[in-house]
Amino acid sequence: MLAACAPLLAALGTSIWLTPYPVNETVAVLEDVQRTTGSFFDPTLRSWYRPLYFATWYWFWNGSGSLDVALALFKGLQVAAPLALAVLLIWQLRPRSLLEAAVAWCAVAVLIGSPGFRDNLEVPLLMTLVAMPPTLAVWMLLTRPARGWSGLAILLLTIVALGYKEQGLVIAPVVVVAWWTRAPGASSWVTAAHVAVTLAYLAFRLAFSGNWPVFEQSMGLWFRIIEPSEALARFGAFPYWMYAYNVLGTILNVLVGEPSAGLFAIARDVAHSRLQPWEVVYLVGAISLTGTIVWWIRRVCPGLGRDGWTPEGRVAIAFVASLLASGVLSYHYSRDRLGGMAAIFYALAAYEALRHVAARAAEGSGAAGRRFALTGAFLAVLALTWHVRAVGTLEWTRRMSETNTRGWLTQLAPRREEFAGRHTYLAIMNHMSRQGTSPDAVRPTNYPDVVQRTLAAPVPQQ
Amino acid sequence: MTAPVVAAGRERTLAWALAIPAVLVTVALVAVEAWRLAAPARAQAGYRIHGSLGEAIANDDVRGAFDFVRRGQDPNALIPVHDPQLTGGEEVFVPPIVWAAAADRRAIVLMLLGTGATFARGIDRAAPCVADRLGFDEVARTLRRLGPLPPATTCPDLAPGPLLVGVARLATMSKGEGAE
Repeated sequence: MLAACAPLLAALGTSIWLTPYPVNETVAVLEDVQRTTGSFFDPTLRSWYRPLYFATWYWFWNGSGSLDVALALFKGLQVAAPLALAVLLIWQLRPRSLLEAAVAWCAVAVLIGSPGFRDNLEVPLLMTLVAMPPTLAVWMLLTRPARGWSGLAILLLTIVALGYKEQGLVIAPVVVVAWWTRAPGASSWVTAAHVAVTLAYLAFRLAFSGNWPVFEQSMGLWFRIIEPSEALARFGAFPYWMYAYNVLGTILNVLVGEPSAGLFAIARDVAHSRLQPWEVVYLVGAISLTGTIVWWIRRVCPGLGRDGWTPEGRVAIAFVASLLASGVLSYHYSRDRLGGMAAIFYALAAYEALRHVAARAAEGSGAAGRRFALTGAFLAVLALTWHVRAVGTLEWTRRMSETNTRGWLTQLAPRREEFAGRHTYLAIMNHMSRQGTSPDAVRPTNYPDVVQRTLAAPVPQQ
Repeated sequence: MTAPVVAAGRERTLAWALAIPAVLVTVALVAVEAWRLAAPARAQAGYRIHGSLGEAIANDDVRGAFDFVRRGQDPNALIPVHDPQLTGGEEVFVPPIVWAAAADRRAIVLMLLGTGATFARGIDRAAPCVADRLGFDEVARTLRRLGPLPPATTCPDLAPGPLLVGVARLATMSKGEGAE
């Protein structure tokens, strides 16, 4: 299975490695690391709290004594995290037959083709990306017989995920679901410890929430982007409708790939009869898979608990819990990347649902031949769309690289003027400009237009 | 045939229904990756080969234009350009920043400003004026905001005829006066 996925994973890892850091994110982050040494853990500085992200930069930079080494180490982490996640997924699925191997291959494509995975590949914003392998590792430990060290390992992995980004909180409901469904590795003390850690974390954050803005970043609202000032003017008196929109936006993005960052771009293109081939691939893949998962959940859920818990039922509930938690944690603004944690469980649910569909179709009688043929065709189309989407993710990283390179080529002069008084910023920017303009930076593939339009998904602009 | 045998056969069929798209996509991916390695100039987008910096600017290829600077070409050195309207079809020598301004290539203007365009000569300082004359307001604004121009720079009087021919004469005049 790993060998089958190896070409895509190798190409993805290489592409990320050869993607330059963008001028618009990295320089400011590194300036922050230089200026706010030791205060990464101070919750009063910002409304968001990602101490391990900044600490990682700090340790890499100060530990090596070289910015170039720190950049290389950080890039290594950016490459290792998605590859580790894919390997862990294959390990967790452990296919034992040809059918299971084919379904597992599709599940890996679902993970890599998901907007929540893809959006987290953006260099250097790896906060959620680094939290994703620990989340899957936690699930693996929960669903295997407990060992002496596994409870402590689960707790440590959760704390690491939480230290990188608030999305690590998604692990807590997943642990509770595992305990409730009597997963072999989910002991009562592990669950109690997670509940305690979560409550303590929330109390800690909320204690310093007095200076949090009502709206923090720009948000997509139906068909256009609104800035925080406009959102404040329109929804400031009662922001909860906007929060609910953001929550639902993230949930729907995981399920059907739309809206993206709150914007219904595909729906707009449908309305204006300018649907792109990649949008068709997106819609067909997402709707067919999510429909299959919903059908599967309806089949495995009615007996839940009464006749004992099945691994399938456990995955179904964990997926729903992770989806809701990811949605709630994105109440401030919706981005594709905020569905990253749920994307793991979407892939796990995809595996179980597709296996269920195939097994049921295989067991059908000879009279159901037409239905069997239709099921085969349905599965083939579904698999095709997701494998194409996975390659689309690879191409997306290459277009991000192109965007970053253009950013370095065109932004040096404006930034030298804008940040003329910030000497640390300028020193870091000038030092990094060589990697930003390197001729080795990966470029998009010169596909024919129709292939490009089939693979393409929007790249954030600098 | 017994039911388990039939079921096993059906399972195999469905496995292939799922696997064949994956195999096809993976084979295509391996072929494309091999192509990217074997022929990067053809397989990777934006790998255009330009004969000169002026050509890269005319084609609005910021990466291609930067390649000339990276390989050591002075971003202030005059380059030969020609255009039916702007030079009347004859070849004239102007700074890259002037050619980029005349072609409305804002990204390349920004790249040149970031990589050492200096505006030391009168002919360089004609760049925003060229953009003004051609109605490229954004390029003109960018040059005035970011270019190291003296505060009271005024547009030079240009000889009648094609715009860049007049600009190119500024260089000749400067040389004659020994002012540069």
